[in-house]
Amino acid sequence: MTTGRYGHRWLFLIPFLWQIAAVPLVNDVAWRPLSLPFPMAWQMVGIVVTTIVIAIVFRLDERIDGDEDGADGEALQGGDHHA
Amino acid sequence: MILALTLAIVLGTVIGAVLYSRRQARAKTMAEWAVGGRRFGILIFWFLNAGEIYTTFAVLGISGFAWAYGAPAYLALTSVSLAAVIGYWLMPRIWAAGHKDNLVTQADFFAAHYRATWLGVVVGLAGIAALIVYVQIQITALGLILRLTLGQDVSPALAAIMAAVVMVAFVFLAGLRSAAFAAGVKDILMLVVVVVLCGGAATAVGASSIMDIYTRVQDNFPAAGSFPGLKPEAGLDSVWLMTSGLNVAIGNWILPHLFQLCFSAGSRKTIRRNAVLQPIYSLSYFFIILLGFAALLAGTQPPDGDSNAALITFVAGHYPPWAVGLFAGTACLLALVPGSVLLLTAGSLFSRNVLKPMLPSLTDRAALLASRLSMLVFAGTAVWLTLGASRSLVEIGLSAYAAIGMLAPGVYFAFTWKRANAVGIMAGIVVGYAALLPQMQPFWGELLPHWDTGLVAMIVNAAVAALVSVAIPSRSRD
Repeated sequence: MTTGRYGHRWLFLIPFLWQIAAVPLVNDVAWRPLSLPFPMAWQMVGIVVTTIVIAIVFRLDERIDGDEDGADGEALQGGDHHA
Repeated sequence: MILALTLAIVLGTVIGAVLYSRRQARAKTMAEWAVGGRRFGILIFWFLNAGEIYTTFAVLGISGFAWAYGAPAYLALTSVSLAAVIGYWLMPRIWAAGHKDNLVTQADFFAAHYRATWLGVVVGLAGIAALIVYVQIQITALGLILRLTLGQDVSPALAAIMAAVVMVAFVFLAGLRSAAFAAGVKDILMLVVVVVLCGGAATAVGASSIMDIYTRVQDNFPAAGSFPGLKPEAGLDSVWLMTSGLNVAIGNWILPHLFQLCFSAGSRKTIRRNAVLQPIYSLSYFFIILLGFAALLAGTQPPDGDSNAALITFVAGHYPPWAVGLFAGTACLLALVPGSVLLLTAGSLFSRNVLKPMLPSLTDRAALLASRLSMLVFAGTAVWLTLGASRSLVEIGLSAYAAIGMLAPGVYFAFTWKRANAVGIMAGIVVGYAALLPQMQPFWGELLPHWDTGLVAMIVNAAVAALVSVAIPSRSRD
């Protein structure tokens, strides 16, 4: 299904691994970066990481899709399987 | 002073919104009124989007959750940015489908994609139900603010009724365009409020700085900073965060008003760029959680221990009247802006997808009238739900997400799996709602302790939809 052109969208796994899968792993860290509880700081850094990931995917997508303003190119091929 | 400032903010925004919408082409038809003419640029689209994020759910609900439970308030940090990731993938697809078939509502999408008008009716009704639960959040919060400004001798029931009247008046003064204007005003005011409240928070609780508030909370309440938080018996542990966060992120764009918002975007690029900017908004929950922790340190005791009133009680007790008025006025907008969008969406779903299939001869004018009248009923239903309810805004919000999550498999399958059909989707919805029934809760609690029930029901729903779609293939799909 995935043509390979949109392979960079696997990057979208990172936000889910960071903000969901890692929750139990970081819960008991006692370190308080900038006085914040570690699990809270972890989620906040996660937001920044997520933004960066979306921004990278956006740039790569726009390079592929260009300025054509029609339907999503890959949507016509049945879609990819991320997210 | 407090009342005057509150009124000035709300009335000023309404007048500004009316003038703003007058300058635009007057919306006449149903489609224009509900979708704003499909011509939103990135700026208005972003404000409208943010308007959905900065609700009373976030400001009063999350701060109250931080006050009552501690760490479980991080839910807001987790869910919003993950919703943006999903939105990046999902929203352009919804947008493209909307343009291809000239869709106005979410139920239109189901009816068109699955080629079943009856499924559109079911989806319309399910969407309305979830929207009413969401309106309940806004009415609850607006009622709390009204009691703050008018005095505690106004009963909660009367406050809720007044809140609904104000909200309906706000909707009727103009349609979606003015909500965009009001969302802009609200976002700017919210920024000012956050600066004012956080600036005074350290002094109010005797801490040396904002970060010192975090230090003191962890020193005085060692359980607050990590899961399961201050009340382990509530079951709000890591598993709860993971499953609720995922369910909110998956369900977010399925909420009918957000789904419909995708149609009004100008282009795919607008939507994608918006998804890049969106998570950044959620960083400001840092300040909301801070205020909740400050209320905790200050020993705030809201009336009846109502966590929804924790921030209001803290502000009323520790800030000068002008700051309280500013906060109250902004909090009103916070409830009114999303509330009006929710009611508008429910109204257009009703006239277009429930009434019209039954009365095909309905004229556009009659449909618009039916849509407006139905909003009165929905606001009334939300008031009725509010009466006697004492749940946290976050819990009510999670119920709304659980309800709307029942439509999620139908949306995601539409874009990923060609074999999914109307009968399968319907079977999934029915079994999913059954899984949400209160009678099922002990069973799920034992099987999957502390899981968000909405996510469990969504998984059950998707599995049933897939099985039935395979077992009963649709007759003729290209």
